[in-house]
Amino acid sequence: MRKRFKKANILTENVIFIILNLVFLSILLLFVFSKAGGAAVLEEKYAKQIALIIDSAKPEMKIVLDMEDALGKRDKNWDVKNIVTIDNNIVTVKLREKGGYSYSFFNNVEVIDYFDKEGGKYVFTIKKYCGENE
Amino acid sequence: MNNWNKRGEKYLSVYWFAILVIVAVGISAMVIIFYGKPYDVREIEAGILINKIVDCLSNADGTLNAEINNENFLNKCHLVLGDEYYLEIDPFGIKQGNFNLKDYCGKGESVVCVKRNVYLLDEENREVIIKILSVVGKDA
Repeated sequence: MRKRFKKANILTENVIFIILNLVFLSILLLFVFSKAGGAAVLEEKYAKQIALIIDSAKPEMKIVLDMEDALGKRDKNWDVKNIVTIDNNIVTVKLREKGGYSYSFFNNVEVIDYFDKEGGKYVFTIKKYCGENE
Repeated sequence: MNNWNKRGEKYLSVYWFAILVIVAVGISAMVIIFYGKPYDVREIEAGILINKIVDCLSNADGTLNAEINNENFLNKCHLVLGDEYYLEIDPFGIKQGNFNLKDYCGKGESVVCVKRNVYLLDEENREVIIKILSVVGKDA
């Protein structure tokens, strides 16, 4: 009886130990993945990506950018149209009201940006060089 | 003897949790440092700027566009350079942007400086070496 009790004790202790370890690892992994896909990181990533794309672009180019992961991270009451704004050679990406990342670009072009609801992607059209007649 | 073993087990479990905490703190610190660091795209940006300048300075047939000078450079090449950029193009003597950024080249990571040499042919089919310095002084 004592031996059986000892064996049950060892089993219980080991099971609890394994469960605690699994809980600890799960919490750690959750923390890592939450940091990796955070809104602030995505705002910076897309602001810089869009600025570099505009810098490399020429008039009459149309660029379609898939921002699905950013759209999933935005605040639910934050309008999709407000995510990307381009003004005075500065690109701003905001996924929430109290947030946002801005990055400037040097290409003197007129950019029209809009969110294509059907395709679920952001579209950037490089219209013309600023100061040029159409 | 059995009591000694039980005491030993208690001390071991304390150390075990201490190790878990150290590992958790270590991993958290690494993740925070890694994802806290911004994406540094300044070198790519400086490279794109140089490519635009070369496109601007060369004609479709690869010859030098001799019309460009320091006064009309920004207008002809469709560039807007604020205080975060500096450009120098020899032998045209073109210097545009924030001149102070050049002093920081090679001194730390506050600016990124990229130099390129390009060969073009002039009107008389002579080789011209164009040296371009592009400096981006934004925060990483």
